[in-house]
Amino acid sequence: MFKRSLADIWFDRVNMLLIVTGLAIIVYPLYFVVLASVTDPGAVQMTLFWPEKFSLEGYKKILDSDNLWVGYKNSFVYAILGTIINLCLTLPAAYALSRKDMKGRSTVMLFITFTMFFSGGLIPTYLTVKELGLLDSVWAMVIPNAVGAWNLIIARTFFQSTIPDELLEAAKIDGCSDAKFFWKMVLPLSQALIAIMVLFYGVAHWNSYFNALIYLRDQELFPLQLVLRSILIENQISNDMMTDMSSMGDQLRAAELIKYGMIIIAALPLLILYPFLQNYFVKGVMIGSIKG
Amino acid sequence: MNNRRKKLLVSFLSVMMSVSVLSACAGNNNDGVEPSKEPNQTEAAQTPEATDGGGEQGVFPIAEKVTLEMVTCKHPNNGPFEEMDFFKQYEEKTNVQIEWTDIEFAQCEEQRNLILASGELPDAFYGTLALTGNDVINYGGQGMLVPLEQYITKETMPNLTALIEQNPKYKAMLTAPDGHIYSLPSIRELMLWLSPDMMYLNKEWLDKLELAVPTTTDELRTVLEAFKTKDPNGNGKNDEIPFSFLWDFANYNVMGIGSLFGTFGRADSANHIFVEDGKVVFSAKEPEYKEAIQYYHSYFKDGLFDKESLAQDRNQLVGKGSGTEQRLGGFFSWNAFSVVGVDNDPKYVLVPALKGPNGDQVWRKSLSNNQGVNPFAFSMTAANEHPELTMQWIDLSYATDTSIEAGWGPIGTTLEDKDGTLTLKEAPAGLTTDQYVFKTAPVEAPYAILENTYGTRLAMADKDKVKIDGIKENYLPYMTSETFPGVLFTAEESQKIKTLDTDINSYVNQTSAKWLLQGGVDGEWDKYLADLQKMKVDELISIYQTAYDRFKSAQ
Repeated sequence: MFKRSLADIWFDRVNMLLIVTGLAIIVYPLYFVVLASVTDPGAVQMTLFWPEKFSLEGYKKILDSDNLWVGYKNSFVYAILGTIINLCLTLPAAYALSRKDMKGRSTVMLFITFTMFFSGGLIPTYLTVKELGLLDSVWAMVIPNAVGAWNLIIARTFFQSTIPDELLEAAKIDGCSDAKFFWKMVLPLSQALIAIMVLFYGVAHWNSYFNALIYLRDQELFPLQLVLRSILIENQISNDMMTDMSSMGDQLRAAELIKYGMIIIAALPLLILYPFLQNYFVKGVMIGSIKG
Repeated sequence: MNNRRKKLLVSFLSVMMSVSVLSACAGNNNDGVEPSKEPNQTEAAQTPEATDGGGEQGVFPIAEKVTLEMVTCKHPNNGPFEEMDFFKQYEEKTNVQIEWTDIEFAQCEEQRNLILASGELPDAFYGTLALTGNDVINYGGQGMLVPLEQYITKETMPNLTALIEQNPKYKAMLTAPDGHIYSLPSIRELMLWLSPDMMYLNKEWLDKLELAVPTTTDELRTVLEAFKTKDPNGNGKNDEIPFSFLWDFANYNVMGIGSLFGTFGRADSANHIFVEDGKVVFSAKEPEYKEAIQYYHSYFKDGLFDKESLAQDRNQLVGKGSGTEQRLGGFFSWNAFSVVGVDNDPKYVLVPALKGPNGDQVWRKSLSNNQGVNPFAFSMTAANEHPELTMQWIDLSYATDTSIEAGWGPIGTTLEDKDGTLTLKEAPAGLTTDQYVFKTAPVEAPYAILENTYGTRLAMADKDKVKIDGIKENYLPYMTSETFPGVLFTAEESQKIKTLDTDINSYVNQTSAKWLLQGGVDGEWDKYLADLQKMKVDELISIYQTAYDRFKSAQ
């Protein structure tokens, strides 16, 4: 091997320093949340790198709380059911729109693109959902926005660029129908896309709270994010002079106690999901249908 | 020619139409018995209203069940409204069934706005959390809420009418700037509200250092210096925080040092608006404010006031106060335990209004929430088909015992009658008394409990009694700085106040924080006054003045 010059060595060192600093800036807040979740709330202020007063009281409270588990369960249901509906509608639509032999596809595309820039607004949407009888039901969480225009466009572009016309022709010659082609050829070749769609839609469902905020009233249906929001917002009432003050101190402490633990518990499923999907990204890109 | 005639005809027709609509409305409002659109449901129910002289309890229970839809926002501790014993009893008593839309506290703002904006109105909004003052004034002016003054008569609402006759000030508090009353109040007349802020010092430390509770600013200085230097918590570390408070707008009136500014002749409040002899004063541009800032700067310089006071939030302060090892010497709060917790509560002692270097001894008199009166506790909408009945229904809530039950739970369930005095019972296992009360009664509701009810019909809660005694003994004699009372503003006024206030307050807040921390108030004061002028502080004062004059004349 050739000898590395002094400049090279220093370049590497500076590089390393910058990367480590950048990493620290990103990782520390995350680390702090983990740290704060196992610290006594009174000592969080003084905590820097290790727990000042170790306490698992917060997690104990979380595990005991019914509301949070109901929210957790609901979030799972909405994310899984919602994502399945999303995929069932987005993928076939995107594939159809990617086919050049579909008549009027540019008009359809125009309508779909239109919704990316203009919408009916909050109240008309609310009234529509209400008139459809979806209010206060699971369906209000999964049916409105069942197809994301942006995701549809991504999927269409993906099909257009990765499924060659020749493949369709070859399949047709072998007597394959359109539906069978979509099922047997397009989907298996689009694992990367499906993984991305699952991630996009899944994360959106998991993190969404606004739809729940306006469409749901029954606490039994609240997703996790709304339960979290309630815990944080209900703290603010302590400033209200009309409130009875005696339980305020306890309530405040309890909320502080579970706040950080909740962030971790809420983020956990996505942290677990991500590496699995990442695996697909790599595979999907590597396996092509036409070699060379 | 032809064209013009057409135009005339069109405008004539439209005038005719609006007249007929108006008269329909007027008829509707005046007798409260409108020709019913759905006779099957309402006809029978309205018979009792139509018979006159139905005051007192006479109307209830009505012959045939009537259902009213009401929207409310739940307090975080409230359970479902339809399961509350209070309302179950109410329904038995009246034969009026309420169909509740009880919104979770965290969703209240969004859901309420959707209901109002989508025009799908309930019959009434119930409870202090359901509508804000702005909502009531705006939607009242737009005709979505019904003016209620026509129903406040001896015949329809005997309880509330008597209440207002005895206390004419309540009428002024309820009257919107356009002269109408769109909402009914929730009244909890207690001296508590006069001083939400109480000053506390660590008694254990005082005893240990053999110091008395200070009575002057000089003595306060000595105490805080000792807290700082003499290691009163005895852990060998210099980790004591002699005194800490909050500086942000939302918490300033309870946990800020506004009343401590009174040691120079005039207290301070979050919005700096005071009334002196009928004149509105902006405290932060008066010389007393400057002197106070200058003086308390020295506390920051010497480390007697916690430097983080100017930037910390409530949780941080509570963090400093909690824990087994005491670090906090003193603070401002509604009561000691909300900062230091129940265990440490007895270790803290109230500090009386201090005498300043020039002999001034002033404490803030907080009138901004009218001593526990919230005027926005019940509103009726234009969609209500039984206005008279609704008002008769709600009037029952203003009787003394029902009022107490609405706020503390039903007699026999949460309250027990001991020789004519109602006392809270022990809650069932697993619930605190508070939780139990909130499950059985709405609490944040329309009712009226007057000051003379406490201690006679209703036993006063211990913590309230402690606080009231503390106020009487330490602060009441020195309350010469009166804040602006809770007056209803027009939509235009509140809009203007919002715009002006945001700028002015953040400027005052930041500049004063800088002066407290780094000093320099002497050199910059004139420029500060000039800047305030530029930000139209005089206009702000005059808006408040107009509203105050209107308030006074409505009494």
